[in-house]
Amino acid sequence: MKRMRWVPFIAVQLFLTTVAYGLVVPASATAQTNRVSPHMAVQLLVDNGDAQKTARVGVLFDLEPGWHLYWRNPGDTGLAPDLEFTFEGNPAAKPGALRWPAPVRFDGLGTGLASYGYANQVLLAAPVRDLANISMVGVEADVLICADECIPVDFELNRAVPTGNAISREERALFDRYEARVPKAASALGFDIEASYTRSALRPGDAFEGAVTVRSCDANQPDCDWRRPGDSDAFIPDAPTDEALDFVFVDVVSHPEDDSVSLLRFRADVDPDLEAPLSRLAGVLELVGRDGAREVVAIDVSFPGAAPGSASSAIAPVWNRGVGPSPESGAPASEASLLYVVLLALLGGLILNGMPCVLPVLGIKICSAAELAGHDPAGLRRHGFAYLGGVLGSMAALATVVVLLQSAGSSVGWGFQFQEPAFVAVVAAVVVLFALNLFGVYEINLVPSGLGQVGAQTQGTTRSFFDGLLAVALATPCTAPFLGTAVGFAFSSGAPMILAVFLAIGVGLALPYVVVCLVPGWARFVPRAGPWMLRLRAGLGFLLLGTAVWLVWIFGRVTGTDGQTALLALLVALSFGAWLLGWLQAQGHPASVALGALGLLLFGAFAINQIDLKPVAGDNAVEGDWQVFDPTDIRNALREPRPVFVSFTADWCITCKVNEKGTLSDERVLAALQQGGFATFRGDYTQRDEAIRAELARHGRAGVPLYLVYDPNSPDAPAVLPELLTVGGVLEALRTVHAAGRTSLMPAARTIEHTSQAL
Amino acid sequence: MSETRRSPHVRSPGRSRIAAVAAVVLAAFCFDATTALAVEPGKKAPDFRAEKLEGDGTLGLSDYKGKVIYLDFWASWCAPCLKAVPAIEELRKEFPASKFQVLAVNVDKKTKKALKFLARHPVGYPSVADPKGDIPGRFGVEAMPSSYLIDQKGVVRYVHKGFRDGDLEEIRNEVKRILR
Repeated sequence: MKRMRWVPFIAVQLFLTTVAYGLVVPASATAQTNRVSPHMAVQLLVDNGDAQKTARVGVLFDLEPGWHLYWRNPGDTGLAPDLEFTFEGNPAAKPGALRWPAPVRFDGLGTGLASYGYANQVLLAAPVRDLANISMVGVEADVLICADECIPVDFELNRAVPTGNAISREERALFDRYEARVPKAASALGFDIEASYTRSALRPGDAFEGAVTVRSCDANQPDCDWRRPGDSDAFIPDAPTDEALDFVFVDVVSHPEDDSVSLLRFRADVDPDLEAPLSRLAGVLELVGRDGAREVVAIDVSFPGAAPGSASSAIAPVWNRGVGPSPESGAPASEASLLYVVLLALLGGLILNGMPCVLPVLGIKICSAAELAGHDPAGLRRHGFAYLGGVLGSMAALATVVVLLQSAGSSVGWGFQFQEPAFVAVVAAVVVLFALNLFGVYEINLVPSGLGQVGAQTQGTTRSFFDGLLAVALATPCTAPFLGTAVGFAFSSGAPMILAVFLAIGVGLALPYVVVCLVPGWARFVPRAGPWMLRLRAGLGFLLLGTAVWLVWIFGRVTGTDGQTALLALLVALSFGAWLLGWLQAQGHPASVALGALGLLLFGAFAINQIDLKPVAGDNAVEGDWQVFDPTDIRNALREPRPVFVSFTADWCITCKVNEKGTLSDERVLAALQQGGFATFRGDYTQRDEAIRAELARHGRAGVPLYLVYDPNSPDAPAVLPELLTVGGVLEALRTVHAAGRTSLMPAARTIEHTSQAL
Repeated sequence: MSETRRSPHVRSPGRSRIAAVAAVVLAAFCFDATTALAVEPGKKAPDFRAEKLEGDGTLGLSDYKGKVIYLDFWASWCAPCLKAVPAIEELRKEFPASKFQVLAVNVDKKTKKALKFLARHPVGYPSVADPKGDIPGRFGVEAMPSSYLIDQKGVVRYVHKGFRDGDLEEIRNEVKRILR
């Protein structure tokens, strides 16, 4: 009997020990402080409400200095608290949604990762409709607290519901205090907040710019109680927005045309793996007032998320490009901006004629035109239109390929075809065969006729049509000024814009020859046809062979020495085939000639297919002081702080090579980079690289070259240099990095200066 | 004053209660399995085997016999863990692979964020995935990151919790001490 008395004694001791560990808290009508972790104490609070207030339950977290827990969207790191309330006496009772006070931002211990949450103290509460029949409230909680280590904490709390007026004034005051910190909807507070974007539809993988617009009143008016976003960290996104978009917030500026509107501008990328389009941009926004008082509001505005392949057109709002509609309208780009881009494309196409890629074709066409100008002006016009048709037809085909690739989810940039070794091999073969034709090794003559009349035969408008195709094939890797901007705009727009820009480039490309064909009387300035034309054709043939050398070099850079040798062997074989064709032509056997030509084409196609076209690993060796492009290394350099210069280039990009051999090798530029302490990075786009493509797209470019100058004071808004560099221009850009201003893509706005005060 | 003599066969009620409380407290310590099982320096590291986080196959401590191992527990939700990653990579490169290796255990319930982090910050050492948290349980991990320096015989020689500026130097010195 005596021993039986030990049983309840031990049971009580076990219970008390369990309580001492804080795993389960006994019921009490008053809040108890429980140290559930060495770094955190918690209390379960209950407000049984009254006629004016709904009942509320909540957990009060008290954290040691340096520790924090997380918001409902924890950010890049962290875990949101999980609280599950239980109600004894009425198991069907359910609390409303948790009320989340405005979070603060944590910088991730210098990792650059942002997280959101609470330090010191926070109450996470939920409304409850009716506590009348409930005797006990409980909560099961999983929270993560972090400082320079992270500790998951699980605990359970229970508490008897206080009856009547038993709730303490302090407890109710805590509920009220933290309820006041829950961001209210901006519209409920009378703020007019919207967002605008630089695209009409935003698909997975799209890069864009945007602005959260806050309409207040004119700050210049003395009675205006204005509100503006606090700074570029003013917006904290909610989870769906944060998961779908990768933001870089740039600055807060006034609208260039309306001082009552302030803009929190940002750049962003849509997650390429996003499965469901985002339809709302939501989060909390900190506003600061005239007196420095800060207020956090909840915003929930529309976002034009779209599925992959959807049509999307670019928008040029006034706060971004200086032309276009007001940010609120979100209307498509104005006709003026479209016309501007099309004109740029036309001009770029015109300049392409001067590039070494295209010049041989143009030279040959003009020589041919000189032959015809004197005796067959009508035929000359037909050649002009045939050439134009060839150029426009191939540009339309190229535009169609780009649209199809984008619809299929592939990301392409300008010059993408030169990242395909097969294309390079085909173009090299065509160029060599064309050069041999100019040397007279064989003739391309689809209309049977006798040979021997050098330079005096009309070879048919079909020949001019194919010359147009060849001109486009050779033009694409050459980048001319203005083309980068126009093509970048096109690539980020929908199919109609891509087609319009490509056709405009084609018109510019064909324009010199078409003008020559249409304008009478110019031929009198050209010497009479004669042996000099043979020498000119041969000279242009050698220019084409120079182009072939360049193409073989590109091929070798991508596929290695073995691939390059195989291509050279193929070109020799094709040259032999061309000579054979010429011999058959000289024998006067049309059928044999046709068969020979067909055989040559088939052999070429077969042989190219046999070459190992697999790209070899890119050459990532650091050359001199240039480092391989890496966004992390760039961020680290900017944090040191060091200014940064980034060059995006490709082996097939002639403009890039001109810049590298010229301006970027100039002693003055090299000295300025060294004396300025610049970290220099090079992004090689010779082969496909998604990271580089995304970075180009972020700056509105579809291809290379692209040159960026970063100021550590403005790490998110680098200066973008022109495609064709000049020594003076580069030196000026490097100098301004250290000046107060910075070169920006958004020059039309002014930065708001305001005084902030600690609360 | 009179003395009260007690029979030597009757125990004092007070002493019996203290014994009961001590037994209960001892049992209560047993409830805290984590404390009881926490692997401390001098103890043999529990072996384990788990699927690689990237690529196919499994990895375990037994694959590193005869080498000094730096075992690091991390998760994508843990900022100090992510801060430690480049430092650990730097440490790994400082010592010959034949003598020193790093093995990480990722405890994310869903590995997408962890893989995304590693794609942006590639390292030369492997991670295994343990979404259920079995391996940290065996080591008695309470905080993240937690790292264990295990010598060539499989004995834990050093435990490190959290990651702060200057920690790399301390860890490096411990590795050098073991490798001497």
